[in-house]
Amino acid sequence: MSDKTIVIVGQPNSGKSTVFNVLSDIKKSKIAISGSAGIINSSVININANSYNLINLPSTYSLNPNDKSEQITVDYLMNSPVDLVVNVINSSLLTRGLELTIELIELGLPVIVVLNMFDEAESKGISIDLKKLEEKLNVPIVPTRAKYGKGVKELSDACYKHLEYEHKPASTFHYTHHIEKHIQDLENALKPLLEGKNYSRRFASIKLIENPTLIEKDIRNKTEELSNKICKDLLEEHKLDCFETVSYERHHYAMKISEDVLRYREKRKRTLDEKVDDYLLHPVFGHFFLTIFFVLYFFLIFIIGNGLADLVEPLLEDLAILLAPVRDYNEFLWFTLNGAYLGFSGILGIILPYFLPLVFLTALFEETGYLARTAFLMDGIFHKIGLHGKSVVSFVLGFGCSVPAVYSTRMIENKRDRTIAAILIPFVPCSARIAVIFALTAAFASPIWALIIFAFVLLIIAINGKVLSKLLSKPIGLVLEIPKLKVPSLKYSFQKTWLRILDFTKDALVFLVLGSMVLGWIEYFEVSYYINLAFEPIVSYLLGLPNELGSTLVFGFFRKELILVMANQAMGVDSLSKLPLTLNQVITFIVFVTLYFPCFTTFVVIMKEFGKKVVLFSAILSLIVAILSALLFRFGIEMLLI
Amino acid sequence: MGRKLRIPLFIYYKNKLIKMSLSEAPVEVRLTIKEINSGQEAKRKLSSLGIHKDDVVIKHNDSKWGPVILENLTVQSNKLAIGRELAKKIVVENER
Ligand SMILES: Nc1nc2c(ncn2[C@@H]2O[C@H](COP(=O)(O)OP(=O)(O)OP(=O)(O)O)[C@@H](O)[C@H]2O)c(=O)[nH]1
Ligand SMILES: [Mg+2]
Repeated sequence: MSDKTIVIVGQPNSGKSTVFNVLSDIKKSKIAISGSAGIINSSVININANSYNLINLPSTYSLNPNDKSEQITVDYLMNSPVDLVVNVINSSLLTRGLELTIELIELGLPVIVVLNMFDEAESKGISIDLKKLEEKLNVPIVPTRAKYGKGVKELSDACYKHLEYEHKPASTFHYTHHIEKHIQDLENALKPLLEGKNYSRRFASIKLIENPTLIEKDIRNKTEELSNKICKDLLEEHKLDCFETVSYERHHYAMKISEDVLRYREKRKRTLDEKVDDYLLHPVFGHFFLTIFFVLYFFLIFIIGNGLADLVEPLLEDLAILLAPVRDYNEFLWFTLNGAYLGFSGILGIILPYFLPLVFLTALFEETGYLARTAFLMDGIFHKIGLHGKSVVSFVLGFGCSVPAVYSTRMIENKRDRTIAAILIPFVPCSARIAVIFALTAAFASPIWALIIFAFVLLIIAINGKVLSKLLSKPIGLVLEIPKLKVPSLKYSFQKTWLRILDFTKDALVFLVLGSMVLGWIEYFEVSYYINLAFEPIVSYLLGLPNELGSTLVFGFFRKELILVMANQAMGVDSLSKLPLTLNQVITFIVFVTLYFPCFTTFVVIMKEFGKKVVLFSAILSLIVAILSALLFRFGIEMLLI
Repeated sequence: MGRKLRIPLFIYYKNKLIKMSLSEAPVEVRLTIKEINSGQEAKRKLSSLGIHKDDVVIKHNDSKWGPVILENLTVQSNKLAIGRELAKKIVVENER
């Protein structure tokens, strides 16, 4: 059965994901979560016993894509079967939203406009004449407050009606006379060429003037002469380049419509969040607050993580006692079971305690809109190391996991900036490595060491960024929207945390338990001797660590958090604090492990996104950096202690 | 003929109009965007975030370093941060 497809399209922060979530809740349905920026979420929804595919496309400001994730949306709309476009607009930013709506209507697909965040528009003193707007656009308009689940029923009814019954065509937006003439000419020329295309002839004609690269090459070639002539005309007669002419007109069209439908109730006072924002963006207080914020952020994770770890530890110890008698019964079975147990306790006792607060706090943090402010504050500093302020967002996500962080570089428009960010991201300690750092420093030293290592890693990133940006050409610079500050929703953050933890444990559990079992066998068959021998030059000569840790590095390539479990396993102890290592050795080990290689998944993702050359470069660079840094700490600490 | 120019709401009465780059423009006054002399890529980005020629904007921060914070009065918008280098390429006009 071929279900019809509904896609959600909207500008960033318009509430698309919220609409998506509440819509797919109408009757319990499965959501395919892939969790990170740029990945398309889809689900099935039922309305009046009909089922439809619902797809949430990546946010885009317009149909002239500026970056990779916007490109995905535009490609999808132009080339995949779509039966209905649900265009989500932030009502308090109506005019800008309408520019995208006009483009979507030009595209020629059926459109429903969702005026989301209606409450926010109201609190800003803006009221919208829905009837008039509907007349202007000739598409259904549904006001919603998706965050509170309001208007969702009306929306799904409207979708149903629009999909299953006849509806009148949407308005056509006429450009000024001279452009309109050119559009008509192109439309005529395109008449025989657009067989079987998703998009309308009008859309193709407009884009051939405004942004020709969007249209397939063979069509573009056939109309090249005409569109070149049009651009020449526009430039000579009106002194305007083609792109500006069309986008300017659309901008004014949107403005005209919103002037007709908007009413401002009163001259609004500055709201509290705007006053707070002044301080957050202030050149002095802003940075001050930022520092405090991040120190607090990591401190909280440390405290909560420690607490949780203490809580589960006794339980795990009880479990170990239960397992002990097996050893007398069958050695091989015991090594297998004990391996599995160590993997399991590694997740429950070491990783999850730190992962949980990290993911939750990051979810809260993302919700507030403070991320954009961080990017703003850091842009000046980041520029000094040759980076884009926007990459801050990727770096912050990198503290969670490098994989979504690498994906999130898609919102950086420029290839150079993207590549630099992607090469640097693996240096940012992800939650797995933070777990390693915290757990080992907690067992051997004080949190001060964790801070020192963090500071050092930041320094490494800065130096690498500086060098890389010297090697590559110049960036275009930051253009970033600073969304309104929001009180984060606890429910949404819990939901997000739950999904991420689920996502994480799903493969981590299998991986860690199996991995530890394999390591148990390695121990049983005494293979680790050879692995350790292979790593001896680096592990013992360069870094001055016990040989046995060599095999942990292999597993660390798959998942960094495995290193902890494996370290216990390899050295034959049952808790970290019993590891026979000196402070110096622990710190050297941590530094090396933090930097030595992106994990396997990150490796694959970087390869997919950027190609072999970049990923190889990144791998070799990180190995060199790791060795040098570990040496620095090894001898640095020695000298300090003398 | 052709493009419909929107006259910004403030009155030009007896005032001189001064052109300058956005990065050196004064804060908290109404500025009209006159030219965007950046590359094509940045132009597109600005346009999709709602910044066009003839828009009336207000600059909100006075630091000499880091991005400029901009608010567009012509359309309702959130604040925008625009990198210093790019801000130098945007020409604005104000009344004095
Ligand atoms: N006041 C209010 N807030 C809302 C409403 N709908 C969503 N939000 C909030 O707006 C913020 C952004 O919502 P998302 O659903 O993440 O927006 P999005 O369009 O998916 O954003 P991106 O995917 O990041 O571009 C969240 O903090 C929501 O809780 C609403 O109707 N009213
Ligand atoms: Mg979203």
